[in-house]
Amino acid sequence: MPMILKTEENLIADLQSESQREIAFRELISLYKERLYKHIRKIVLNHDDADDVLQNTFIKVFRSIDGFKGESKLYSWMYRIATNEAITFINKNAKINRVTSEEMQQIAINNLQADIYFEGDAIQLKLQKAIATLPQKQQLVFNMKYFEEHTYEELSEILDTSVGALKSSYHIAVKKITTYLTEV
Amino acid sequence: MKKEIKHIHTPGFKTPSNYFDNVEENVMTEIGLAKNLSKKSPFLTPSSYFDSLEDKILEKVVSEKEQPKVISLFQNNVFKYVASIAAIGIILFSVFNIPGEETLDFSSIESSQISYYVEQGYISLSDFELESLISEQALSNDNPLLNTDISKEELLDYLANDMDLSTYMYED
Repeated sequence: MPMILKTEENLIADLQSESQREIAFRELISLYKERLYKHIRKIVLNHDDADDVLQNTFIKVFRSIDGFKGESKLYSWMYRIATNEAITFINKNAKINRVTSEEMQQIAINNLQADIYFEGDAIQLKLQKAIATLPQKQQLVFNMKYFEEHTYEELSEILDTSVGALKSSYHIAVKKITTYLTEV
Repeated sequence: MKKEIKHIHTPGFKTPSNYFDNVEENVMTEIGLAKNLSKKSPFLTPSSYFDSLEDKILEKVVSEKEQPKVISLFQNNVFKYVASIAAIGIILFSVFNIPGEETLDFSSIESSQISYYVEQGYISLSDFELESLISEQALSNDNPLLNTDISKEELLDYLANDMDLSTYMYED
C-alpha cells in the first residue's frame, strides 16, 4: 500500500496538536534524520558527537514546535537549529578544553585518519583539512553547496544571508580550497 | 492556429539580469573541483544507527514531559502547626540556654582580628562609614604613608608602565 505523504501544513498541525504530537514527531524524525545527520557530521566530524548534536536538535525542535509560525519551511528551520547546535557544541567543547574553536576543529581533523568511521582516501582527508582552514561561515556555505547541493535560494533561507553574499562566499571558499589542494 | 504561430518569433522566456556574466566562471569552478574530488561522503555510520533513532529520541522527550509527581509533606495542616511550634522551641532553647556566664565584649577582641575581618569582606562598610571610624590621629602628618617622597621621575614611570588605564576609562 503506497504511503500517503502529508503536506507540510498537515504535519505542522499534527506536531502542534497535543493528541497527534508524538506520532507526528516520530514521522518528522524519520523524514529528516539522515539529511540532518549528514549536515551535522560535516561540521563536528566525529560520529558520536554528531549523534549527540542530532538528538539535541530534535529535542529542541520538539520543545519549540509550538512557537513555529511557518515563516520559513519546516526543513529550513530545523536545518538552522541543527547548524546552531553543532556550532554551540564545538564552542562548548573548546571552552572545556581551554582552546579556541579553530583549535578544537583542528583536533577533530587530526583524529579523522584514525577514526574507524572515516573511509576517505588521502585526497578526501586533504579536502577536509582544506575546509577546516576556512572561516566557519564559509565552511558551512561550501559544505551545503558542494556536498549537499542546496540551491542558493535554499541556503539564503537557512543561513539568513543574501544570495549575492552566498555566491561570493562560495567562490572564495572554492578558490582557497583549490589553492590548498594544489599547493600544500 | 498556423496563422497565429507564424507571428510568434521569440519563445517568450526571460533570464535574470547578468545571468550570462558568471556562467563560464561557475562551470569552470565546479569542473576544477570535480576533476579531483568525489562528492561521495567519506563519513560512515555504525550499522543500524538510524533504525533505533526515533525510539531513542522519543524516550528522552517523553521522559522529560512526564515529571515525577511531587507530593508535599506539608499538606496536613496539623503537621504544619506542630513543625512550627517545634522550630520556635528550638530557637528559644538555643537563645536562652547559652552555657556559662561569658559575655562578649569588643575590648576582648584583638584589633588585628577586626582588621582581618574587614579586609576579608565579612563586614561591608561604605567609604563614609569607614571615614567616620578612622580616627584623626591615623591621618596625622606623622603617618609615614603620607610623608613618603615620590620623585617626578618615579611618578611618570608609574603612570607609563604600571597604571592600568582601562580601569579608569571604563568606569561609569
